[in-house]
Amino acid sequence: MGIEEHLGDNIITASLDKIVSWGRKWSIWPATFGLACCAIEMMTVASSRYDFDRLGLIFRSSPRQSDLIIVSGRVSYKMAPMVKRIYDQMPNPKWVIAMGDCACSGGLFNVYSIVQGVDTIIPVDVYIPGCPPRPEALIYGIVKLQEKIEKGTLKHEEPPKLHIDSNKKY
Amino acid sequence: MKADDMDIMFALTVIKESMPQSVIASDVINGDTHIRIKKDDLLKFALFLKNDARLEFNMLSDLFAVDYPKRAERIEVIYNFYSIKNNFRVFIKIWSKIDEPEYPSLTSVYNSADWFEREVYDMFGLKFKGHPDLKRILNPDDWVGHPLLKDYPLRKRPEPHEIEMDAPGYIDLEQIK
Repeated sequence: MGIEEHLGDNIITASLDKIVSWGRKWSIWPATFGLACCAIEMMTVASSRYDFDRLGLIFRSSPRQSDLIIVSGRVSYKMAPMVKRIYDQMPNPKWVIAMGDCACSGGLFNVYSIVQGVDTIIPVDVYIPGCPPRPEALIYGIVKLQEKIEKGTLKHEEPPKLHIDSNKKY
Repeated sequence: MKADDMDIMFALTVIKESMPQSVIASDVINGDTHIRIKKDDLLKFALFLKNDARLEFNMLSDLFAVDYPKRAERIEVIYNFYSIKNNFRVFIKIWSKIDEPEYPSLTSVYNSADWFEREVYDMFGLKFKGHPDLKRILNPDDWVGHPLLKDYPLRKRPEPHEIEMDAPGYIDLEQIK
């Protein structure tokens, strides 16, 4: 896709991996996107008391400038196409955080209208349980995502797979 | 309750005396007036409630339905009229069978009935005759069934691959012209 195709496997690219991963790790830009009460908690993390910015997270108003989408809240079947569209509009490499029980598994909304886990629609990197998670929990999830990004390389950027169990009745 | 608020029994008497052929039953529960009327008289009844100088129910503050599966007349639609001038509220109820989903629409009398009736149509499948744009309001447009009916299967959901990911949001401008 980019420069990584023109460089082979050698000591220069190995070092370049570290620099690029370090850069990506400290400049995760999440899309401005919230769904439910978890979004209120997400806004709290962005405010001065918890301060996302010190981790390099700055909310971007366009998915085309974003690296991360925080699915904060329950995803209804009516909202699912919009979530998918925002994810599709984001450029690679991109990451997804499922924030809260509802985004992880459907949570207490075991009903007709709610998607049972956003990982059936878009691939998820980090799951944060809680109803809603404390701001500290979201920051912990961000740190876990940073650890994951740190291990990433330029060459093999494959997003995680969808978790669709063919035996489970969604 | 303020001193100039309307008396419950006065309102009930006025309604009963003016529309005796429409009222089937009436009751006062916890200070709320509940009146059950015939379905065919609904539009006439609403116009009377709105225009009568003694009552002036100038606001339809809510409209919803309930499904009682064990009853012969399963569907109960409850209209919640409110009079701002008299600070008074009345609940008008209509019972109907499940195979009689045709209801008169109140959109010609109260504008607020528009979205309420769309919600009741979405959740219960009642058809409001005369509604300008009767389509689903909460569920996706291609949804099958009416979820708040008691015989709707519990936890019936589309499979993830069945979700139409491309449908909403795009409007063909040529079609609007």
